[in-house]
Amino acid sequence: MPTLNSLNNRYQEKRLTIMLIIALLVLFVISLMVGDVNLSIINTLKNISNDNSSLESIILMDIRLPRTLLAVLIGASLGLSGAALQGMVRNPLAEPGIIGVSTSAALGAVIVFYFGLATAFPMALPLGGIVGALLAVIFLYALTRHNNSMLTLILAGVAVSSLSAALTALALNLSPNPYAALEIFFWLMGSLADRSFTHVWLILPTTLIGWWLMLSTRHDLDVLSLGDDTAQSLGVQIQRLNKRIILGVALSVGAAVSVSGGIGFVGLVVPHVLRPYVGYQPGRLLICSALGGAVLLLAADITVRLLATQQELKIGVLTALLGAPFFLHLILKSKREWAP
Amino acid sequence: MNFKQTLLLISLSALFYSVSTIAKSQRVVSLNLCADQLLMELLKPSSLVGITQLASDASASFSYKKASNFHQHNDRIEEVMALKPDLIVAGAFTSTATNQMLDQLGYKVVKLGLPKTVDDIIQQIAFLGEQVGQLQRANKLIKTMRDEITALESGDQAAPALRAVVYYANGFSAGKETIVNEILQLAGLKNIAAETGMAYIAPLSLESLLVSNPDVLLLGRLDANTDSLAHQVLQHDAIEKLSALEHVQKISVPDRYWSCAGPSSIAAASYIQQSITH
Amino acid sequence: MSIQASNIHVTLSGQLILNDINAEFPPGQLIGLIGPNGAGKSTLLRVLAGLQMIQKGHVSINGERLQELQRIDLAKKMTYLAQSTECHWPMSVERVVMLGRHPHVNSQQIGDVDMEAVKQAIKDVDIEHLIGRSVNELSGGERARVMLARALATGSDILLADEPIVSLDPRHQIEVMALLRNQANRGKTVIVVLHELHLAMRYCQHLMLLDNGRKVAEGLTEDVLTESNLKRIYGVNALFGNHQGVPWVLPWSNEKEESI
Repeated sequence: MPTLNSLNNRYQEKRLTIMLIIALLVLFVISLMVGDVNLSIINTLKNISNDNSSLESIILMDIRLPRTLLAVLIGASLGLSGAALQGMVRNPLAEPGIIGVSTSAALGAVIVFYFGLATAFPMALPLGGIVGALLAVIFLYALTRHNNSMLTLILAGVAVSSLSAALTALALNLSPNPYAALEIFFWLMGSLADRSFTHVWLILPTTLIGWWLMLSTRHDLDVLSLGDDTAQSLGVQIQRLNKRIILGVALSVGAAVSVSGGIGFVGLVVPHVLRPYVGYQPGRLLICSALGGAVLLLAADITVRLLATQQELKIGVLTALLGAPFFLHLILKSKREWAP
Repeated sequence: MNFKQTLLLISLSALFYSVSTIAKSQRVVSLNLCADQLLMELLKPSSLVGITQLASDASASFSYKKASNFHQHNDRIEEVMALKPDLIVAGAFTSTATNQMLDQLGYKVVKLGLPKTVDDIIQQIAFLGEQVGQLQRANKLIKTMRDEITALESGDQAAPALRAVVYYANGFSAGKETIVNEILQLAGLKNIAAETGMAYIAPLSLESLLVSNPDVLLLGRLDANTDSLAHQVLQHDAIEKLSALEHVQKISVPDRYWSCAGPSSIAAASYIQQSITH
Repeated sequence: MSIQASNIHVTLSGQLILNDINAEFPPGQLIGLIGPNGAGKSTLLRVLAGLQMIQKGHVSINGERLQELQRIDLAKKMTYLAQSTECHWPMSVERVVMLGRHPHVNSQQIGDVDMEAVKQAIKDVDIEHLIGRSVNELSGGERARVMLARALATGSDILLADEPIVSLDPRHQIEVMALLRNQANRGKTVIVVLHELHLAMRYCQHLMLLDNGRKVAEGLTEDVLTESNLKRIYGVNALFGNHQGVPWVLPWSNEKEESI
């Protein structure tokens, strides 16, 4: 007979966390080694420590390092947001891409970027993404408050996504810059190519705040599984929890999309895969999902760089190829397991 | 000569004269920026009755100052028809719908291709000169170009060839079989993209750009408006740091020098050659 | 700890659900909240738990008004067991029971005290054989007992339970009522909404009878469960009896005395 010791002994969870951290570190190093050009990392690092600025050091520090950091930051934000949203609406299908948060963030960012606001005031770019994301999450929350059925969620997501995508295309077409209309694919599919440290600094503050807000709800999220009344009676302040998650998702995903475009499905796949390893507790899922998201996105980014296409494949295409069938499988499975 | 022969001679001359007059009084409309620039060299405002709006745009047109002497149209078919052209000059890539429409309406349309070498340019000028009956002026233009090229080539002998690369929006560069390649060669530079075997215009990754260790960096830029992802890559930290390295020269060539392949290309080569310090 | 409701008025969607309810629930008692469907029993329980918005009146615990207490502190003093036994994620039984310790654990590590409380609760409710199973795989009755264990694990002095035995088999119905009475005997205030009048008679010391949002009777069980109250309020004819000195009641037929 299984014992109660599993409760106190979080062995499985700790092991998972450690494995994810190791995977992350390994992929981090690999990411620095992958690129168009063959570099000897060791020599380059030696050069850097000797304060020798060489072409190789520029490639490593200004091209590969920021890209890798972005993959980690954005992947973590996407994984964490997916898990947090799912805990909040108590539905395994909630995910920034599916529910239209990413597309709305893209709309906000596009309006800021192509109409000159970002040149005047760089922080306007992530702020645009954040505002767009916020509107979508608030709408989603209002819709699912009394009804978290799968159908409502998917339909709401479709509506918000379609509308935002259409408005984004419109904004791009109205932009004075002739290249704008061609760039819609970036905003809807996402890419980490040619990003620099500027982008890392742009999103770092709001991302960290967003993470903190979401992580602060992790104990309350577990209790929320028992329903609003029971959770409240156990001391959970539901309004405060919802606000933190809404704001946290908007801050981290909004900023991420503003520099990388909309990358989808990470927040769906990662929490779902990891859930059994944390005893299905939504609160315990948060940190693991963040790590898992970073690992997944980093792996996808490395793959995209290794694929021999003339123009680099947009990373969102890869995550969609993985995530969309997964999404379908989830819907079909859920009909049997977790009743709507 | 007897009277009949003299009459024949006079009438033939009269015919000839009137034919060349008809050719000279041809009304020409241009639908293409590059055609605009060539035609402005060859024709007077009374003959070149319509050019594009871009012709007066300083960021796109090399002869933008001249454009104010000519009438500019808005590319609309009705407007073009109202100018009563005898000859319409379009680019090979002018909207096919427009071309088809003009064909159907019975106008004579001449399409200009994209020259890739100096010889191509010269051929094009000669061809156009013939079409509009200004062969003499065309030849004069060609001679001026040839003189400039000779001057350039002598300037090139003075120093060893530096390695250069052109980087456009979206991370594209120009390799072999492009007019840019020709321009770089005229300016006495080695085109790195051509060296790596690139043909036409193709993407060049940031890393490859850096590792190629260029001496001269030519960055494409749309003067007014750089709010697009396509242009962001040109402002990437890596490029800033590259151009901060001692031996790298960053030259910004205004777009109007190389938006068209023509006399402006020779001017572009001079501009570059003069901007380089050895 | 005693819990007290004063002048409670609750309106929902324009309907007056609770009309001027006054009640005091002393500690050490198992108190039944009974009445016909729609009388407002569950609403009153939620009011006591601080989960329902009140238009007029207030609730106090030992003299302290609910509004003045922090949610977390309130959670340590009072436990609410909802009628619905939903659990949105397929967690294991013991994890669900451990959730009851949330007011005490919150952000800290689970300690020995918490483990003990959970163990004891599981034992008391007789679900040791369900440890390790996913809570959503269980039958309705088993899940109800898991939720009860969760409520007991908190260890608070006031327990409010909304129809806790409705899906249980007879043996477990009796066991849970006995358990609740036992908790009351140890000094807790236990207030239970229930329809099972025969068990109310058997285990509850006090009853409060509600009808259409008003309190119509209150006091010792035998004084509330009278033939006239049952007929007037519930519309049933009941049989009364006595077994070894202990009174029992059995609702027998409705007003019209329809025969089978």
